[in-house]
Amino acid sequence: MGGAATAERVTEAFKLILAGDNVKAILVNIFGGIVRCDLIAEGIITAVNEVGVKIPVVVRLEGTNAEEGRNMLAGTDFELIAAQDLTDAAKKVVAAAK
Amino acid sequence: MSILVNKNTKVICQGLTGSQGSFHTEKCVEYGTNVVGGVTPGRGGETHLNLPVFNTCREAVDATGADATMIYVPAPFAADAVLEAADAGIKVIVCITEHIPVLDMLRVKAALAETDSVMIGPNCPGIITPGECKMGIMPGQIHKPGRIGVVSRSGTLTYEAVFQTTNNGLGQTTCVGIGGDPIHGMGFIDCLEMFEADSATDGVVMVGEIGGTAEEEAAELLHWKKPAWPRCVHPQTSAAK
Repeated sequence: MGGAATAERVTEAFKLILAGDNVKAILVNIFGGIVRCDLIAEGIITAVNEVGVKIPVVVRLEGTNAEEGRNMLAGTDFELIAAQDLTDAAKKVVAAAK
Repeated sequence: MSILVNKNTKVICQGLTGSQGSFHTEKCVEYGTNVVGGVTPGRGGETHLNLPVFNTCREAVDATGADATMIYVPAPFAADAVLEAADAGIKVIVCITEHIPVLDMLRVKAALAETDSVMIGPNCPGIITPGECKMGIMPGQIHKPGRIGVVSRSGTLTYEAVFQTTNNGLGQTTCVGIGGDPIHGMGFIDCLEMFEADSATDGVVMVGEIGGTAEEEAAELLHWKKPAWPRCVHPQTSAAK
């Protein structure tokens, strides 16, 4: 996403990824510095509502405003798979894609 | 101990009243950084985030005794911001701004060589001495005072290295994000030499980035005196620097 990540850009990224019909799962890995995890979470939620994600989504949020971001994701109806760190996230997304 | 910044460092923020400057300066103050003011031309005399705002770096230094600055000024004006800070005698200049034109940095690099100021960045997360001084955009809570020096050209990977050394109990002395731009201030070698001279740093994590030869140059300099104890003792490449 780069340093300029906003909710709109996250949503757009989801649309781009989902344009490929061989995508089996999505892994979102953010260690926020200048990027705020709450904005990433907002983007993920918007994406799920706007484009309808039907494949597993694994999310690892760490860094700036990570707690807020995690809480926002936990409060949604869509089933997201939360991961602790990058290794955990990789294992979970591989398992989910199988 | 630490390198470059500590609890006594007096920090100003150039671009304090902007959105990025405000958000991240507030985080730095919360962390415990000794932030003494900010600079925004035309806004001198105002108070922002309970901090005095000055029109110029010179005024800020005269009034506060600041010896370090973090710059969040937009790219077209960032080069001048660095030069202004150096001209005001500020010793540690941390430039967070990304997308500064390479030709601008060429001018800045040449000018800084004539001063005793050092620049960290541009396009970098900044520098932090855990528990003492955070200057930049890194998430403060993942750091822990300790024994490892971190120097990195990558932003996110710096945080990964920091978080892992925190989680396994090692902690950090100072973490420097030098940025990935082609023309930048401090490099790997400058930082490695400072870490070597720092008695509290027992090891260093160095994180590279795609492009350039900085990693190869630093590797040439590393001489493994003890296992896991990176030391800079290669006289030939030191001299060639």
